Amino acid sequence: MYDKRKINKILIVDDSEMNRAILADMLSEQYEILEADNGIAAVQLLHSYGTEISLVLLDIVMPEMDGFEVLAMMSRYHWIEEIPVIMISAENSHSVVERAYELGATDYISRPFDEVIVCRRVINTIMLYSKQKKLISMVADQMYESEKSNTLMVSILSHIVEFRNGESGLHVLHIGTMTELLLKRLREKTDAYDLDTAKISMISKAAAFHDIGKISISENILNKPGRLTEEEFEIMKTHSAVGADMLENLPLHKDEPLVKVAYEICRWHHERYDGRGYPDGLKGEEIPISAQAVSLADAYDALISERVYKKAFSHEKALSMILNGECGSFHPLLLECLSDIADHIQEKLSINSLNRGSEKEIHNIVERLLSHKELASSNRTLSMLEEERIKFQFFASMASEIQFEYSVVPSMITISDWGAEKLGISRFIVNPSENQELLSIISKEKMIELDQILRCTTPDSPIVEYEVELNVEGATRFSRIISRALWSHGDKTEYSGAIGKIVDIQEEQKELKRLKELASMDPLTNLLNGAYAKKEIIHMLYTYPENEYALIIFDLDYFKTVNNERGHVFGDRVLKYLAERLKSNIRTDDLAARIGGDEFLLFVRYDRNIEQAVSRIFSAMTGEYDGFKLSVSMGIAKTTTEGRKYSDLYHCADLALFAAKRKGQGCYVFYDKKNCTSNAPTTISPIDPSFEE
Amino acid sequence: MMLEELYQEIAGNYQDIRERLRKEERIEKFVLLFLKDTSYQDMLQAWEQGNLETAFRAVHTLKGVCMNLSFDKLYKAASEMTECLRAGDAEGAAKILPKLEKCYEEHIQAIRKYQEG
Repeated sequence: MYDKRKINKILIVDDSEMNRAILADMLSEQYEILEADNGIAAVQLLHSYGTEISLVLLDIVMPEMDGFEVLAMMSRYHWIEEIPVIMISAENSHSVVERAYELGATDYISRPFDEVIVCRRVINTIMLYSKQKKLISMVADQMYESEKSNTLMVSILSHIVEFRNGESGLHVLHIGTMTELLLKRLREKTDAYDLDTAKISMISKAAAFHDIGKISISENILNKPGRLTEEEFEIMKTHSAVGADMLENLPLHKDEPLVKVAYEICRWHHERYDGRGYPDGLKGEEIPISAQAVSLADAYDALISERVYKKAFSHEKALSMILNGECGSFHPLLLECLSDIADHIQEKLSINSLNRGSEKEIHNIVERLLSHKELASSNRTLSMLEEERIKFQFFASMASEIQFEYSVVPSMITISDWGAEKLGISRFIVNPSENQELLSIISKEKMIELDQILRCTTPDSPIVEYEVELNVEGATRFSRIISRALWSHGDKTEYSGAIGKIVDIQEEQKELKRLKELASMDPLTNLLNGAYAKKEIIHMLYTYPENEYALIIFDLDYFKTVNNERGHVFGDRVLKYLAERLKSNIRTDDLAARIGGDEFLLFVRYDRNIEQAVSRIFSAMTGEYDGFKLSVSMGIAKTTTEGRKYSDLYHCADLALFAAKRKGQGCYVFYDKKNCTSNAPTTISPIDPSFEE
Repeated sequence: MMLEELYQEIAGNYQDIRERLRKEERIEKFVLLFLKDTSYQDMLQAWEQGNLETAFRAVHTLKGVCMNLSFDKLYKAASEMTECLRAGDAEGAAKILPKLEKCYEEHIQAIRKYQEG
């Protein structure tokens, strides 16, 4: 039968089996017990059960991963907010207990265990947490309701002002968005203004009030198409002080933080950093940062909007006008922020304009959801998260992939089940850069390099592909690590870790290498082909400037006759034979290529006696093959006399070959200006047209 | 031999454990389970290998177990050892070890005797 009382699961984490047994014995009547004998096992169970676990009893001193580290993990995964932890330990020192509380432990039970105390504390904590969860969701709902009406009031009020001004109606929204963008960027640059998320949101909302004082200005002045007279402008200028007075004289609510911020904004959004604004002529930091941000946002939006007295300027024009000081002076740091966010402004403003249309629909959906009272918002988020977790685990287990998750604090890698098995290592690896298991797979340098690359990404482009040799199942495998850096979206953008997967590309690499070789080879002789040889020669000339080389071109005499008399198949055999002899007569560093039907190219390094080396190769090419007399003509160009430019060397060798042919074949000729005329036709008939100069 | 007599013999606090664990059978179960607890052996092994940190964790566990079983005398010996090893004081620990060893053996023998009836 289903035992209703056992609906709560309790996780006991203690390295002593005896201690776990005692606790389990005390609690097993009422709760389902899960046990872990070290921190890593505990985290593993938390991963698989999530918020199904109602409470954790946690020891501090344990092997592998201690209780403090488990608490840190729990706060990283936000489990600590949903799953209460009671510390159990023989450590009674104040600092230990203190640290546990700081890390989010709810309660502390010291040894020896007393059944009454243990059971009572466990029950209390579980009840407290479930009550708290209900309360949180109730409060969240209420806050949402009041938030909604607040926003509504603010926007009604500010639109009244706007429509009277003949403005588009988007101005208020734009200012709010701009102010928020500016302040968020400012917070990343400095801590000077104590800006947290709530405060920024309040300032952005209060920004809507900046012009409420205009309600007191006559429409003739407000909507006058031309330039205002000096007198009119003086009247116009009163709107900031008037708006502030209106707020200050509110019979109720004037002490609300929102109203106070709105006051600052109303009164001082026309002040300028150099003290030349109005109404009070405040200077620099005397002007509250809220008013400074709104005034910059106001200036920008006024420029890009059409008004009765002016046309709309482009985004770029507006930016340059502000940065050049044409709209008065602003806080230099805020101007920096404006430049930083310049690329995003238009996009953000257009999103906000679009949202207005769908706002109503979103409200409807939210309302429908909220009418299910039992599904309070925080629980809804939780169950969605839970669903995501199950989905993620399911796909990870199906994928047959090495997937991983890395967190900076605490420094830990979690590997998918399949991946851990494939690599033959644990699923949870603490302090990876020192972990022997992991270091047997990837070198420390590579690990650190990958971490550095990930840290250098940005939230906008967080994906890194990294190729590395891994030691998998005792063999070196080329692998590609595709990873995405995680950037936290708290008060500051911070690198918090990465997720990713490892793909084996050994076969891919092998295939690539084969294709590369294929592309560089002449298929008949397995010598290099002309195009590849050219690339290599240029590379060698450039890389080893200290070496001297000779470029040799030669062809087979009477080859045409062979082909005609004994057929092409025999001709091919002759070429293959010649190629083999060539290969066995040069050094491994030398290059040999077939560059035409029966033409070959050699590129050899020499120290002193090149004559001797050439003569040796020449005689090796002379002889007989199956009744055919082998004889070659050779032309040689040297870097010592002809320089190190490939095209020159090639041209000279070609001319020298022509000279050898003229001399009556079966000989070799070194290039020399006197014996080689430059108007000789090329002797080469390339196979590969791209090889021609 | 009664459980209470066993506790007298090993200078444990029977009244205390009785209050905490409530049931005689439960106390007996855990006292007998102590024979299978490996933390003492783990400590000795780590100590012999010169691994003070592991030895510390093991004797720390032993201390916790003794506390839970109200083995006051052994608890005290284990505590002293724990503090020495926590401080990395190998010399001090070496001095305490014989005492702890003797005390542990006494406990094991007494519990075996009790087990045999």
